[in-house]
Amino acid sequence: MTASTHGQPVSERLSSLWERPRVIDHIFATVDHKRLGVRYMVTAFVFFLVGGTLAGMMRTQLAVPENQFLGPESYNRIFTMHGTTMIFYFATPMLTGIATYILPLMLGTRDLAFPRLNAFAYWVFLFSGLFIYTSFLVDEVPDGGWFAYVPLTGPNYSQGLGMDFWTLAILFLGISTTAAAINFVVTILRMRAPGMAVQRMPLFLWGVLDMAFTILIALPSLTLATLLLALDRTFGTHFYDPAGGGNPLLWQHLFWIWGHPEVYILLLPSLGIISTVVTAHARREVVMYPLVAVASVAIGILAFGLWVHHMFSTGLDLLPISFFSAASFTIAIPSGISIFAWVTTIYGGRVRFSPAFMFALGFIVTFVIGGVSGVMVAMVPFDWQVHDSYFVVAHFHYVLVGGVVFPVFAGLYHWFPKITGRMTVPTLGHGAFWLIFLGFNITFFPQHILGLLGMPRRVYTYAEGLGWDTYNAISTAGYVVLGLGIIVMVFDFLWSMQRGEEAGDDPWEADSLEWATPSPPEPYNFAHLPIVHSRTPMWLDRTPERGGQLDRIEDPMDDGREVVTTSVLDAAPDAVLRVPEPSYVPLFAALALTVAVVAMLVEVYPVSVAGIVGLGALLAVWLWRSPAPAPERVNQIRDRVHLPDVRIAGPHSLGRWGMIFFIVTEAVLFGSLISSYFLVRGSADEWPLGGIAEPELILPAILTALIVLSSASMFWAQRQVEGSADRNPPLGMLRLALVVSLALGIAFLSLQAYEFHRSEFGPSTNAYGSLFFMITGTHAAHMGVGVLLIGWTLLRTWFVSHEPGQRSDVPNVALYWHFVGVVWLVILSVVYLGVRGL
Amino acid sequence: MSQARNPYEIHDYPSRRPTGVGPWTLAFALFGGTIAWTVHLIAGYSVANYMCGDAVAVWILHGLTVVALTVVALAFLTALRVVRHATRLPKGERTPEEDRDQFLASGGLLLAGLGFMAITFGEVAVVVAGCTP
Ligand code: HEM
Ligand SMILES: [Cu+2]
Repeated sequence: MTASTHGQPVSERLSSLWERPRVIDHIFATVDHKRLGVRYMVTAFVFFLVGGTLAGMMRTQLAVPENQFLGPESYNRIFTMHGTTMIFYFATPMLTGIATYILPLMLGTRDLAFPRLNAFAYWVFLFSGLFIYTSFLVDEVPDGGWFAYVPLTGPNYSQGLGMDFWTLAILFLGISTTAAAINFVVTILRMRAPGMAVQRMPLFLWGVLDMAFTILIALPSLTLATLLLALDRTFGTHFYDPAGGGNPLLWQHLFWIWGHPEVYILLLPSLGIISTVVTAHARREVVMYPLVAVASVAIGILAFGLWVHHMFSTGLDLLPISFFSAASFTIAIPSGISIFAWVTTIYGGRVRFSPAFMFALGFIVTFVIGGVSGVMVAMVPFDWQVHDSYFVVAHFHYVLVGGVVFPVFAGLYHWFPKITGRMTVPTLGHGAFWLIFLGFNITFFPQHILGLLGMPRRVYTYAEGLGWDTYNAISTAGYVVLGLGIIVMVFDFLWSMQRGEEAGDDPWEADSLEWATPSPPEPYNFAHLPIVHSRTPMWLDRTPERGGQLDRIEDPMDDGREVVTTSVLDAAPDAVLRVPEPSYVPLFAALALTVAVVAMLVEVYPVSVAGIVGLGALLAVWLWRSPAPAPERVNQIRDRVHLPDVRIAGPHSLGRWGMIFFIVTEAVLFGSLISSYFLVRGSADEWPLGGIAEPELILPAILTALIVLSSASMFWAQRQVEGSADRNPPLGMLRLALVVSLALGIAFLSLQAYEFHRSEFGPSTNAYGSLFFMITGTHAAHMGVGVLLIGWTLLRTWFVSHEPGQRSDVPNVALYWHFVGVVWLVILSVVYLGVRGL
Repeated sequence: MSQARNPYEIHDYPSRRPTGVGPWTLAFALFGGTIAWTVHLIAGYSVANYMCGDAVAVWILHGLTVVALTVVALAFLTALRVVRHATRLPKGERTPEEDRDQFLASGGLLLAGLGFMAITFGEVAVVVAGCTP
């Protein structure tokens, strides 16, 4: 392990590669997943404290009847910001942060697949949070509730900037969440330690993988919903406006297609944390591993079947709803399986009652209560009774606090020694747990009763003598206890960070690879990357034959920031790649985006455009130099590490995988858009609305021809790169193919612009016009991005030299271009041809 | 500098013998039940929402259920076969690929079971609530 290469001890050599000496670089340019993970966690925790303070203001107001502490307007603002903060700025980013920190360590690798993207995602999250909170400074706070139902949030009812802050912040944050999800999926699928086949993946990794997939499929609906709302509010479109032929139900559909899975998006990694903590602290592998792993997959899938169950009271018919109730009942089964598995594991284990374990127990208890009340809420007639009452408030806090906050705290206590190198103080931890657990139940249990007694949610006060006073007072008292618990916990963390006992590498004698590193880990995580032979490598792999050590790749892989990539199912090693260096570009890109968003809020569109252009330019710089090793180096690696095949382009490249999942989420976006079209059309008496003529077909026919030809020439370009692994790069042909594609793309855009220009209706004419321009316009915007990408690849053929087999930009851009072409064919059949059939 | 060992020697993959289960079989064993349920949900919801009132609607719904349940059953049987095949040897003699097949196919059993339940619940609703306008 102390072998030296390059005339230096390995650890020194690796440190110099993986860490920059200058402090300013650490702060603004770092791409280290550990630093970014900690930042995520700390930022999210601050948002938790802020959201908790807002909750305290509401509980103060509700403590006694007819209280005058908050008026109705402030109350609306505060519950909106509380819900929004807790869901968007605490829960999701906190879990993202834990995953960002833990994932590469648990996988036995050195960073996430896309480190700079990770930095970008963090900055965007931070700026989005600061952005939405500036609404307090200018006294234009969002007040439409965290699910922002239209028409109340539409242009007619909600004046002022409040809801504009909300829509823009959510759109902005969505970029960060999507980026993180793509990063997690590719990292888990492609960067596991050699040997960590699917049947050996720790359950936490399953949880994060399922979470990330669910995000990629669910989030586009929210993005679309808020985008359409922003357009309705600012540009007078009519997506949700019944007077213009739009449909307010569209909001609810789009919102809940995301909103319900969101609860599970939060739950899935939380279940993973519980499995981790139970394994480590019951000192025994979770029983029925395959079922628990697949249960989490099943929960992710079934979650999509639940979306209309939040719309029980909106007058949908009984039968269509029943299809979704079926999913609500079914989802109880995988949840039940997991609970059963944990309880059995604990029962047969040698339990260490650490604070982390206590929080896990607290979770299990609370989750059962939340599950029972959830099944009650899922029963259609019962739902009609309690809808919009405090029963629902109690239910979702049991699910969210029990299901997310407790696991998060369990995880923080569990990994604290790894992150800081020191142990927390057990007495303080137990004190915090009991205060939080009891305080939580005192706060929220009485709210079930309040709901049954008829107290509606979202009321800022209530009259005396309805029998609600005592329960409300108890609930507020519970908040105080809970708050004390949080204070104790924070104190424990701050104190232990400096004074806690030294933790050593593996204080819990846990099973997974993060405990094979020093605490805190070195910047490069592992000097010699581990190889895995079982599900619990720290327990089973360190056999006497291996000298009591993990199996490791002997080569330190220190000719750059090198990592091994592995195959998806079996985690057989298939390539050595380099991950990028620290960079300021992610920060600047996030700043450019912030400028664009702020300018949109105040409607100074030229500045917005400038921000977007700046962002584009920075991305071009960002992607300009791929960190691919030089050709000699590829051969050297091949000889030294004996990998079967070391290739940077093609199916092995991480960029290709990132592109595939980006396209997945984009496809869902277009799918939601097309479904919205059908929903609005289904509720219209005529189509096109308002006597607009059906679209002509000559122009679309030409457009289609252009797009098909351009796809063909991109395919040709791709062939030049991929089919020539050992030849000299036929750069001339490649350039020609790219130029042809570029010209066809530009021709398409010009013709489409001409079509828009001579159209006799506009996006604000009526809902038909809004949808027509939204669909074709979104597609055109994608074409525009594609054209820029092709131009960028073309430029790179002159300035960036590559071996032919390594040029991964061309196939990636081609993939994107083909996708945009396919989308056009769908649009053609729905928006142009489909109208005729009616 | 020491010559690194070949990761394929120190690593378990690929192993001595092929598993004899193709990727498509495995995919169907794992996800067949889920896909059947998804289609049943979306198609059933659309028919119930837009077509009830037509006399045939209820029969379309029953038909959907029959088709979906058949697919679920096939997925279940496929998964069962894969598990049997992967576990034909005692534990110590199985290859990692066989472990993998067993893992994925047991997952398929669970998913098919859940698909069965969700589809059946939906069908019960059709029978109880009917499909009249
Ligand atoms: C720290 C303890 C907490 C307390 C005392 C608390 C209290 C409250 C109160 C009083 C309301 C308003 C109910 C109403 O008037 O309808 C509320 C709403 C809400 N809370 Fe909490 N909460 C807490 C933690 C959380 C957490 C951790 C989350 C999410 C992870 C959360 C998510 C929400 C949501 C989504 C709403 C609905 C907001 C809306 O109606 O738009 N809360 N909470
Ligand atoms: Cu729900």
